[in-house]
Amino acid sequence: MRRNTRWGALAAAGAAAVLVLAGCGAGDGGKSSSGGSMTLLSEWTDGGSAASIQSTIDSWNKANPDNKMTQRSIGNEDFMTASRTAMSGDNPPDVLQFEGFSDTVDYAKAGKLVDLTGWWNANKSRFALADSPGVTRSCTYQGKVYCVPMSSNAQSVLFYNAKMLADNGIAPPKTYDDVVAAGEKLNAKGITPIALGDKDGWPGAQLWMTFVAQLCGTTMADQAVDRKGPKWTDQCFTDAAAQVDSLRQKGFFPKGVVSDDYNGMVSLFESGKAAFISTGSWFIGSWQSAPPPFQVGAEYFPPVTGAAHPDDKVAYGGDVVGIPTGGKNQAEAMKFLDYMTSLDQAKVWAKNYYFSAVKGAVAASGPANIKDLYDQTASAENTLGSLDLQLPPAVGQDVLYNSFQSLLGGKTTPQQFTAALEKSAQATQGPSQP
Amino acid sequence: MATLTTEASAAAHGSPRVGRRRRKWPALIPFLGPALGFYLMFLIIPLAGTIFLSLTDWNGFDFGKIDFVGVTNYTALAHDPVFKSALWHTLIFVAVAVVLKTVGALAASLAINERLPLATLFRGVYVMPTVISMVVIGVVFNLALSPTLGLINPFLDAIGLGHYAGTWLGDPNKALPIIILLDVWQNFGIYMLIYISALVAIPEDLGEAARVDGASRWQEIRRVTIPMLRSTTGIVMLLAGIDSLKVFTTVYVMTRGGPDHATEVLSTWGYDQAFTQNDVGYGSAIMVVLLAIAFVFAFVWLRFFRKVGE
Repeated sequence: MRRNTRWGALAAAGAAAVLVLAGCGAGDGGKSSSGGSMTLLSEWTDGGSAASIQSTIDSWNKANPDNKMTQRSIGNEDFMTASRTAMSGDNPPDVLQFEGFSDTVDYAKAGKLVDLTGWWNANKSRFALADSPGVTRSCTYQGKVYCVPMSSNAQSVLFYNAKMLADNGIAPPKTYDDVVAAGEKLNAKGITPIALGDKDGWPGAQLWMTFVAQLCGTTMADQAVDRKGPKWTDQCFTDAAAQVDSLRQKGFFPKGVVSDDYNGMVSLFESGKAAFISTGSWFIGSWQSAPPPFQVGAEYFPPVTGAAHPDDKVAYGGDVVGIPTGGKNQAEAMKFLDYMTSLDQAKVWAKNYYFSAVKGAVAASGPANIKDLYDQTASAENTLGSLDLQLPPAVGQDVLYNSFQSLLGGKTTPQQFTAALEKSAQATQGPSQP
Repeated sequence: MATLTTEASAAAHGSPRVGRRRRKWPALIPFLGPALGFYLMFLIIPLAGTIFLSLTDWNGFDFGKIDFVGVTNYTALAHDPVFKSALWHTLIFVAVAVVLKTVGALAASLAINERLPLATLFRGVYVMPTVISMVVIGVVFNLALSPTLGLINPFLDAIGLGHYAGTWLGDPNKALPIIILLDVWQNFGIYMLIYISALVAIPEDLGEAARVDGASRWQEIRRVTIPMLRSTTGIVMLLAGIDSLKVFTTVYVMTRGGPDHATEVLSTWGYDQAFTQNDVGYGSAIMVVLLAIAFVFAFVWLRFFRKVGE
């Protein structure tokens, strides 16, 4: 009897082990279980972009029942890590949305992305800003194209609460001096002038880039990134940081500027507690699902008096799409890429407040209140890609973010900030060569 | 002679007890196999992999381009100011959190053991944070502490303590202490439960003997109860120490190591190096240092308590 009990327990344990091992082997390596034969990984988790990609996938799946697409989206802050991990493994998605620049270089260098040069040359006429540095630097590595832009991001946009300005007798600013004057007036009334939350580093860094584009120009900034002449300690880069520092000293930013994140700064603006918010056109995308409870005005950050390059803008192909070489179905993935960047699909995205990179989409179906801003972006002559994404992560996402955070906290001077950036760039990329 | 023959025969064939043990092994494999398999697969192999990667230069993308660089990553640590401050923050975190968790858990368990009114309620209240996800706690406290959208500053204003309002997590001098306190608040409940279990196991007659000898309640706790909890305290401090060494989620969710690395600890800096800056070798070296500290801490702590016990 005892022997029988022992053998019974043995059999049960063996069965359990088999079940556990079977459980480990089941599934399809973590892919969505909705039965698709292709997968897309993106950071389109909410707002217009999430609604748009779902619409594109639904219509694709309807037309291609044998090659269905499924998607997995991850929030912005964790997406970079998740996408890099996915790309380093043996089971990458068939289509990857990412943010270009240094990621493109890393992926292309490792042979992880399909060369799209042929497709791009045949189809680039359908994209706005196709030949601008803001787009080409985002997707090109050693002369070959590895991704295509989904959006034409306008980064240096100043959004304002039109009602709040009107209630306080302030006209929408046309110059930087107008912004400062409005800020001082609002400050005196106890209203936070500019919503900014720099916990994650990039919102503050982007404000610095806005001034960099105007004071240094896009060409000089790109040369500094490439270590071809200019250094980050050159006067205009320090002056750009000093402009932000001056706003901080005037008390234009909220008390939580260092500890609040992007969502915090958006909440501050949308709850009517701040008059302005300086961020990118992606903010508009959230209006599709959660429109602000007041009329929002939007224009490029007004030019600084005496700026050498007042019309230079931080604008680039923000969301880019590539085809991983490890994908299971590259031919179909290429068809999907072609489909999602078609004018018909781009119109759907534009209707959802997305700054589509496809020419004519916003004009045809974009909401009226974004068309002017979009036209300024699409027709910009000098565009700068986001510097934090262009620089190696050790420089752009460590020192740039942390030192600028320190500047916003009043612990670092503009000179110390640019000195730290230059030191990191030298250590990572080498000295700047004339 | 007969006896000798029997012993020689037993030695030749192994003792009956050893033989029984050997015969048991095949039967034990199905029971131990899955657990050992998981242990090997998810602990030993990744551990060996991390140690190997710490000796390489690898960007995390291309397995064909893993360059062996020896101890270069470890020598680079000595010149990394962020690593040094992360190491310092980690040690401060462990020292303060271990003391606060242990003292808090001991005090709470002694109070609950007194069977005061609402003791059961408070036991649940203290344990409750332990079962809540740290991500949820981090997000909630992040919002509550926000100087612009939070509740703490308006509350301080409302009760006339507005001059204590601050930027909290935005202040490099306050951010780390706040995170430590939050970690203590979340985790001390589980150590309190360990103490309560140990208190129940202390024989009643020891306390009675002390009382018969005229000891006050406080003297009884100090002279009888706390010494009887010595080994439990050792375990609690060891577990709390290892728990604090591993801290990641609290820091990552609340500050991401900021402002300007003011709350950076070894785990967040290693993660940042490996997964944000694509320097997997260097990130692995940081994690190996953390592992070594944990091993040394556990070894020294166990030796110390064994000695004290003896």
